[in-house]
Formats: sequence, structure tokens, C-alpha cells
Amino acid sequence: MVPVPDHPLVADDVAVRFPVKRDWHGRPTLFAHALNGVSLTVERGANLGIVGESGCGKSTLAQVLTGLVAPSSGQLIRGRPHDGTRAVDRIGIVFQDPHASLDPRMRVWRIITEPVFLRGGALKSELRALAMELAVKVGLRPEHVDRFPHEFSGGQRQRIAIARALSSSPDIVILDEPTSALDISVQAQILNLLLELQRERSLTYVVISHNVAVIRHFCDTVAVMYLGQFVECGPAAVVLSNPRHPYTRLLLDSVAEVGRGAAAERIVDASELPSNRHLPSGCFFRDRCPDAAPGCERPQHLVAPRGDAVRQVRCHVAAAGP
Amino acid sequence: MDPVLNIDRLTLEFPIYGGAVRALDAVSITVRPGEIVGVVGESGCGKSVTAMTTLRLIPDDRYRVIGGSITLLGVDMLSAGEKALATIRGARASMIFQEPLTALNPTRRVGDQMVEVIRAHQRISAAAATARATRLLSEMRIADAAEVLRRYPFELSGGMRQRVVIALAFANDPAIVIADEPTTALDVTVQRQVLLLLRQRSRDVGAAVLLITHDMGVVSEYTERVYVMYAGRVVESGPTAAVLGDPAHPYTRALLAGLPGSVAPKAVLQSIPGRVPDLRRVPDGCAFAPRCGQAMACCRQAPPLVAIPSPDGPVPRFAACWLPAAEAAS
Repeated sequence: MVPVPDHPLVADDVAVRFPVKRDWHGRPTLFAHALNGVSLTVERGANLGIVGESGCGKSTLAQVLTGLVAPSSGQLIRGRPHDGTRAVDRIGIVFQDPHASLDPRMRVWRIITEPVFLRGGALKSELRALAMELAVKVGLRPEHVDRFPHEFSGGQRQRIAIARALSSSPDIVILDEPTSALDISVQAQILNLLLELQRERSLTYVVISHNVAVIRHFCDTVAVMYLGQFVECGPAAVVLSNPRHPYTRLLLDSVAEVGRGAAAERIVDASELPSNRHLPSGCFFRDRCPDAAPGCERPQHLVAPRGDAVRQVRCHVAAAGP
Repeated sequence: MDPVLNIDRLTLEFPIYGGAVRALDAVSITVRPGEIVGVVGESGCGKSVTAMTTLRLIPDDRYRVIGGSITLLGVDMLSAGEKALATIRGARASMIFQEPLTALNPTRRVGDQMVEVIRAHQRISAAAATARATRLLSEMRIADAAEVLRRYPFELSGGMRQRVVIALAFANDPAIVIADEPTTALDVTVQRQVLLLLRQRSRDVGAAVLLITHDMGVVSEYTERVYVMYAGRVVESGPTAAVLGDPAHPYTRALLAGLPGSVAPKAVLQSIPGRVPDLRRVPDGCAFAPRCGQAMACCRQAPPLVAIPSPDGPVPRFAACWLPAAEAAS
């Protein structure tokens, strides 16, 4: 793997496992396999969407990309910024729940400037000025910076979280379910704000969400995750309108959307996501897959399907033909 | 046919220090037998309060009814005594809560809980009740039902738990099931299974469903009629396809326009300016007027309930808004 300097963020075959059980020596005996070989490249200016159900490893991936969790194997390569700042400062993150991600005992200006404060060397007056500037940018009033988080509504708190992610002037902002705790009308405001900030500050977003509509609205490329692996990735417009992997099809069929009329009578399989404690052999989706065929017992790799070079699927059936 | 549930101009307040929160303001909702009716709105619009008061689940000293009535299966729920309530709740009318883990008792096996609910309303032996519980679970497509009965709730996945809760809701052949955000805690693929099973079961036994949700997609795909609520009021109601396809109230229109997918990718979404009014001091007249792009002078008076003509079918459509009223007059 050659690090490509112009790609600000590259993950190469990253795996993460967490010990869940230990013997009496304290040695781990059972692991939760959260990520099982994820490779991705964040291209400058192209928003990457990561979609999947809970337990598929999306949030662990967000934490790996921000450096909050170290990969158990594989590596993460951050591009070197030209201006000599540390690469890790060039990545911001917005968490899902704005009620839990803001310190209730800090004033808003301290929250917003925490990433800059931790870098050190900034005066309080500079931090306050920066906080006010960012507060205005995200649609709050400058006097709001002296308040505490509990004085704000959910949408306003998410704005504070966005301002905090921007304060270290990152190139990449990771949005972990940025709107799933918000109401529809507030969600629209926040999505508009994020797109406006992207145009203004030439940001790149990595959007992690279970909400397919948000991913479709936001992202240029998309990766569908299942049990810690990408099962299909490619341009969002292609993958989300014409899915090839059986899991992507199941996921998109399941999403309830306005304008599709009454849901079809067919009850989908009653099975659920398998446990990530003991990984299945072969294709991880095999037991739930309607297209399971001989060959699925072998491990699957991401390959471009025949006659379709823009995307990759982790399925030999989908790769072989239409 | 008589409606199974008729909420008629219900106004309800929660007294708080120095005032009151007007949670519901002249809310009227009707559910006919066998119908799947949706109630949709953003947080704080009063949809859960509607569900809870329908079964009188809020402690009596916490709220004050200002006016209106609730008639559930012919019983006046607001004046019913504890004994009458006990025979209705969990039997002819049942409830599915949002979070299946808190709806089930964590210290007791699934089977014991189900048998208790069945035997509370039917005079049958424990063995017969267990047999019924097994059948209820297998009707929810739970493979080894007898095995699941012996487990504790924490041993089941979220989707399985919610299926147990739905099976419980259908334990005593209800005429109406009130489902308050039944799938909000679940993943999309599981959500689909659960909602399809809920619809299937309600059709099998002819039960009506009042489905309370914030998800327009769920409303669109799983309900026949819908009530849109805003700030404790019903602003629009009618057949789901008509209301979502051609909304008459500016709030419904704005909600739908704010969904990603209503515009081209990365285009600006229409968002509703301002925020939901403080329910301690709701403005006079239309509650949505301060945020409405089409507000007029008359919006400061309470809007009339206008019947919207719908070409398809006899199911009536209403919107609480001056705009259609003005259009009809001109």
C-alpha cells in the first residue's frame, strides 16, 4: 500500500476487535469483531457515505477514522497537511446525540474551542473571538457563547457540535448520524447548514448514517456495511438506485419512504443480523441471502461486477452477472 | 359502524409552576373498526399524550381535562373507574410502547409475563394460557416459540422483543391496538418485519391500529388514514395517499418538502423557519402562523376546519387552515 499524499485519509484493511470476555489471567477469550477488513480512501471534496444497520461497525469506523480507537490490524494513513499542522487536527467529528456529546458544565465558547484549546498556545480572548465567529457561522448569536448547553434546543446543540468540529479548521469532518436525533424540520436546517459550510470552507464529509435518504442527499460515493465489512461501494447515485448486492437490496427495500404507496405484502425473512462474537464462515450474509448459491461458503472479496467498473460488490453471484 | 375510538375536541393541560402546558388543544381523532390510522408529528406535538390519555395511562393528578371526551369501545374513558379501565386495558384495547426493553419486565420470563396477561382477562388454565402464548408467538413468526417463552427479555434481540410485545398486545383479541412509535428503536430491516407483522395480525383479527410515529415514510407505507399534529392540534387529516400526495395545510407541505429526497442531491432543502411554539404560551389563532410563509391577517383567529374535496373516495379530508377556506370562498 503506497500512501497517496493527496488523499487526506486512507484506511487500509483496518480491523478492530474488542475483548468482551477474559479468563482469570485477564487474557481476552472472546472478542467482538467490530470491523473486519475495511479499506477506504477519502477523496478531497467527494463526500463519502457509510450506511448500515446498528451493529454493523459504522460508529467504530468513525472512531477509527478520527483516531479515537486504534485499529487492531491494518493501518490508517493520514495525508500530511502542507502548512505543518498535525494531521490529526485536520479531522473533526460531529456525534449523533447532541445531548450527550456536549459537556454540561462547560460554557459554549469553551465547548466550541476545545479542539484549539487542547492544541495549546491560544489566549482566552482569541478562543472567545473564534467561538463567536463560529457561532455566527452556524446560525447562533454571538451572545450564546456564554450560555450552557442545557439552555439550547436539540437543533441548536447540534449547531454547537458542528461549530466545535470546525474550530480546528479541519479538511475532513466525520458526521456520525448527524441528524438522527432531530426532528424533520430541524434536520433540513442542519443538512442545509452542513452543505453551505462545505461550499464555504472546502470541507470533505464522511457521513455515517442508517438513513438512506440523508446519504443519497449528501454523498458522492457510498459504502454499504454489513458485519464490519463493506459489501458494496461505488457512486451513490448508482449504488442507491440500482443495488447489486443482496444486502443492499434488502436494506433499500426495507426503508419506508413517502410516495411509494402501501408496503408490499411480502414479509421479508425473519432473520436478523448475526452476532459479531463468532464470525460466520464464508460470505457473512449467506444465512439471510435469498440468492445463496454454491460458492458462498468461501470468503468473499470486493470485486467489480462484470460490465460495471464503477462499483465493487462483495458477492460472487452479483459479480458474475446481472 | 360505530367507531372503536372517538376522541372529540379533547383539550388537556399539564399544570406546572406558574401556569400550564396545553398539550392537546381540541384534538379530534376517530378510528373505525379494522382501520390503520396514523398520527404523525414532530416531538412535542402531543402525539404520545394522545396515545397515553386514550388508555388513561397518565396519573390522574398530573393533568387537567379542559374539555372534550374520549369514547373507547363505547366507554367514556375520562369518567371510567379503575375497575372499568382494568377490563379494557390489555384486553379489548392494548398498547405497544416504543422501547420493548422497558415495556417488558426484566426480572420475569417472557412466558410468565404472557400467561399473566392472558389469564388476567380470560378464565383459562395456566396450561391453556401457555398454549395460547406459544401460538401467539408463532403467529409473530418466532421460530421456536416454546423456547422463547422460557427466556428473559434481555436474552432476546430488539426485533424479537418488539415481536413479543406485539404478540402480547394481541393476546386477548383486541378491537384496537395503540402503537406508540413501535419501531423507532429498531433497524430498518427489522422495522419492516415488525410493521408488516403488525399489519398482518391486525387484519387477521380485525383489530384497528392507531399508529403513532414521526416517520413520514412509515405513515405512507403502513396507514390508510392519517392525522398530522402540530403544537397539540390536529392540523390536517384524511386518506394517507391524498394527504401526503397533495397536502392542504402549509405545515404538512413544509414537512414533506424538508425531507431529503424531495430535492436534487445537495440542493437546498426547504426548512421551516423559527421553532415550535412554547406550549405554555401558544399564540392565539393558528399555532403555525408565525412560521408559515403564507400567513395572512386572519391567521390570528382560530382557523376553521375546512373539508378538502378529494376526488378519490368518500373518506373525508380536513385541514385546519384559513388558506383552503379563502380559496373555497373566492
